[in-house]
Amino acid sequence: MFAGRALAAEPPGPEICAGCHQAHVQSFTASVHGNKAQPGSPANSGGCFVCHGDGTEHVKAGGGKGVGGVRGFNNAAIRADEKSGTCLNCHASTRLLAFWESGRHKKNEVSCNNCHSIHDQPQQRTDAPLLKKSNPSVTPYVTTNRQLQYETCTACHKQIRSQLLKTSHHPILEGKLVCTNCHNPHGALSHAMIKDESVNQLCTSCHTDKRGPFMNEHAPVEENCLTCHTPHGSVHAKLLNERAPNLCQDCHDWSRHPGTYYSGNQGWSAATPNTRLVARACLNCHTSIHGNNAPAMRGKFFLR
Amino acid sequence: MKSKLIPLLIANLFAAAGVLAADGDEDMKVSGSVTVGVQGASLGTGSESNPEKLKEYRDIEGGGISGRALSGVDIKGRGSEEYFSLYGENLGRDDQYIDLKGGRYSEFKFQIYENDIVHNWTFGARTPYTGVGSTTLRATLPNLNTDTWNSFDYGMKKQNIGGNFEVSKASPWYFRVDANEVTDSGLKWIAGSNGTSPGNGFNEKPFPIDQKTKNLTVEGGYVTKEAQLSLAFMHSNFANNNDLLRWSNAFFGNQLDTSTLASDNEYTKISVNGNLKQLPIGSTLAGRVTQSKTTNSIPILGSMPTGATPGPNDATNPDRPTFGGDVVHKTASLALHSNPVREIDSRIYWNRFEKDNRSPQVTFTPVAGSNLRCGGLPCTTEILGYKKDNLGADVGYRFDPSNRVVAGLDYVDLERDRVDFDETKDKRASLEWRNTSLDYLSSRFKYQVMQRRSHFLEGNAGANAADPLFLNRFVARFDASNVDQSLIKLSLDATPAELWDVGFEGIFKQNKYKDTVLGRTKDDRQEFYLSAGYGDIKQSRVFAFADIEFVKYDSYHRNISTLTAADAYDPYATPNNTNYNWAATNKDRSFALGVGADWVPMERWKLNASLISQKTHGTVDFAVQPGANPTTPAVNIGNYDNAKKVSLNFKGTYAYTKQIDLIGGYAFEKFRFDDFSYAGYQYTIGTGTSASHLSGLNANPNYTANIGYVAATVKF
Repeated sequence: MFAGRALAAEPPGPEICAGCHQAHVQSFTASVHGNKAQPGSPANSGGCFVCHGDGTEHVKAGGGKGVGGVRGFNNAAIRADEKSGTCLNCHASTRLLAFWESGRHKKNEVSCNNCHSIHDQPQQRTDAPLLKKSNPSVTPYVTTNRQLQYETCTACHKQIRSQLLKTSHHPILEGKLVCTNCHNPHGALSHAMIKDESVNQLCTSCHTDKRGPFMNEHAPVEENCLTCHTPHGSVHAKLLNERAPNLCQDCHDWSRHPGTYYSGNQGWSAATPNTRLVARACLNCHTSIHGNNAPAMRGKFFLR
Repeated sequence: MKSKLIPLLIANLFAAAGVLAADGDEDMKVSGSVTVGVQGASLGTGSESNPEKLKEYRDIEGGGISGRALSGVDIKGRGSEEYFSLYGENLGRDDQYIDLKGGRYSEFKFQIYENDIVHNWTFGARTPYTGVGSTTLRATLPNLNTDTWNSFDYGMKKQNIGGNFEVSKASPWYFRVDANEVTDSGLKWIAGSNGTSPGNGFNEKPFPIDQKTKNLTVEGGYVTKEAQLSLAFMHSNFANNNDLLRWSNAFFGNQLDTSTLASDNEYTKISVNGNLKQLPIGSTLAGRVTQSKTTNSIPILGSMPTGATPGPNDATNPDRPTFGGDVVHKTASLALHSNPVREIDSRIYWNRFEKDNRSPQVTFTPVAGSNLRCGGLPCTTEILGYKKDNLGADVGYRFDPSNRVVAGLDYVDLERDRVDFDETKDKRASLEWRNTSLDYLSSRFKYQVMQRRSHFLEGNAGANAADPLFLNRFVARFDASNVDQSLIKLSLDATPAELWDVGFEGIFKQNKYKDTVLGRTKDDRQEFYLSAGYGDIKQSRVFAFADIEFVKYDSYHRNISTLTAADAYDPYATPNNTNYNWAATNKDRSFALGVGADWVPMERWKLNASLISQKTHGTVDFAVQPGANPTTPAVNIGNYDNAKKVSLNFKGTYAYTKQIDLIGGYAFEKFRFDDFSYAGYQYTIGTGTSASHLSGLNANPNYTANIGYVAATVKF
């Protein structure tokens, strides 16, 4: 196709690449990368070769995957840091990517093209630019038409996909929260790349009513919300990782209750159902479990 | 809730367009679409008609057959210098979402948004109280005749309106402002024991939510490929218009008792973070320092009812009239990442966290004999704080192009103000191997062990086995006790043939609380996730997954009914029928199967279908210490958070013309919940002044629903 065409000294640009890769060139042109008016955009710097490398030999050879040293981002033989490095040539000076080197994704050899695609047009409006959607949506009915962020993340994070579907969950499936409300996938100094310095700082950035300070504090609450809760989804109400009363009894033992077992003959069918077991169990009485400002014994035992 | 923002957004859209068009970006191309439609839903009848889980986070009409309007707008403007996009859906609904973004490339960008979240818990709850929705609930209790009770719904609406503006014209300098206001309203539940003993019953009742959180963050920084530095200041104000709930308490002669609600608070944070990149041996040095302060000021309640009529015993006698909460969090982090040679990458890091609790300690000295005392003595609040240091390193070595090994060590030293454990030290070691030797398979195997050793303060608690405090020698709270943890993770991702992909992930995790006598002794997790897909997502693709999880918690406890026995508080004492030990094993099993397909059967058609089947099954098994024969035997529980859910979803899109898409869909959902704590639910327990009154919260969430919708999208 290209035999006989005189190639300029510069690497071939979109008008040449379109001979075989028309769809890719079209999507590139329609994107911000293809915007010639923007200083520093690849379109302003020559086009395709800015990301994919010099395609001169590739064109001379008549094309082919990886032929001529051209860099295809789906090529598994190219290291992740090389692929990311292509994007970081321009985007390293972006505020959101400042901590890329500190993040788990970089450490685990996830590259930009694992989540983003310049050439795939999003099927529907997304919350973030050009996120890849690898699979059909498998969700309960939701009232949003957006392509949701979690569908990109859970392509790899299978455990999280499973948890999001559980009975008790943050409204991520429903499109009301997104993974990046809590995490920075582009890198962070914090464990699990959460956006705040600690789990508690993160949780109370939304759950501000739990911020306190409280006159009566509950020790495990003050240290780590994850002692009792699991944020992605749980089979137990309120994202608890174990049911009350068992969760509470794992820490509290004393004469009479809570050292007593609350077992299968003390439920609603009993002559007097045990108030420490039915409905919300311990929380029927100990209501202010995250802390309170109630006085004296009523506050100390989280009864008010 | 109807948004106040829609007219504001429309005005801002025009204003933004005006600003953006000020320089006359004649290249601006505007395109988009508008969607209108209608959705109908019908619920099952009888016990299958409770909409709380159906409408937990979704604004779906239900109950008989009813409908709601569907709406959406998606408009983009792209010019050579400026851009904007406006997206809105569910306009005017409780789950409304609006997002307006725009900017001028390399100069500035902005965003304005509204995201409304509805969270419904229970419809048709009941209460004997009047004044629902206010902060004073009155009733003449006990009232065991539920026919006379009042009906209401537990639910909350969260309206989050905000925006941000970022200037990057002076790049590499930037400046950014983020602000938002979150308004919460609705009814939530609060319970609370009636009297002074666990046998005195409780009342579950609604309290009004009327809260507002206002956040403002101002950030400025300098960012280049070689270095980055930023300074941010954040202020957050939480205001609760209801900080107390007053309610009639039968145990105290139907006097008004008081429950405390979340108090107002102020939060400020300063953070500085920075990076130095392109250092020798391919290194990046990253650091962050933050300090935050949370404060509040709350009048301390000077009295609480203690008897049928007000009396001197009611005084709480705090040693100060006001609690001035003051907590400072300080953090510091430093990390050095290096790539000395192509095959080796390393990371060394240090993190420090400090909670400095400067709140005052408050002592209450109720009158002797008052049931407001703590074990007959004055009550003193605890001041909890901690300091945590975390140090770690990991090294990755790629010994050939297909194999990479990463080894890591992590150490945490946590000192805390707690009566049981004042220090814990965690040592963690991990080894991970990644292999891509086969073209069609990549695998990852990780093994990690963690050892926590704690300094236990209660080893000499109590004088002897007849002293209640003696029991504390044996109670080890799992969040701080000695533990040996092991974790194995295996991930496999394969592409066995063209257009095929298969994935597997297996996780095994075990915690052994090795020195725990009373408390959680062990927990185990086994999780398996399998997925498979075939096809090209741009054309037609099928995807399926299967998830299986097993979780088990083991614990050991002591029952003490004869408090005066000489060895009552010694778990190593010979058991008898009233003082003995017992064990519990709590198991959760969950299963999920899902399949979905996107299909382009012919030109102009796009179909999507998905089916999910989920099942969870929980049990608790009890075992009493041999030699004990308690009056009330322990009976296992076979249904703990048992649930089944089926979700079926069809959607078809037909491109009627280039400008018009016609959309239709159908969804079926069935949810069944069977839980021991709710099976056979009653609204009252017991009689007299110790009667419990419940409200029906989460009592019966079962539903079957059919949902259908049609819509048209017009593109321009």
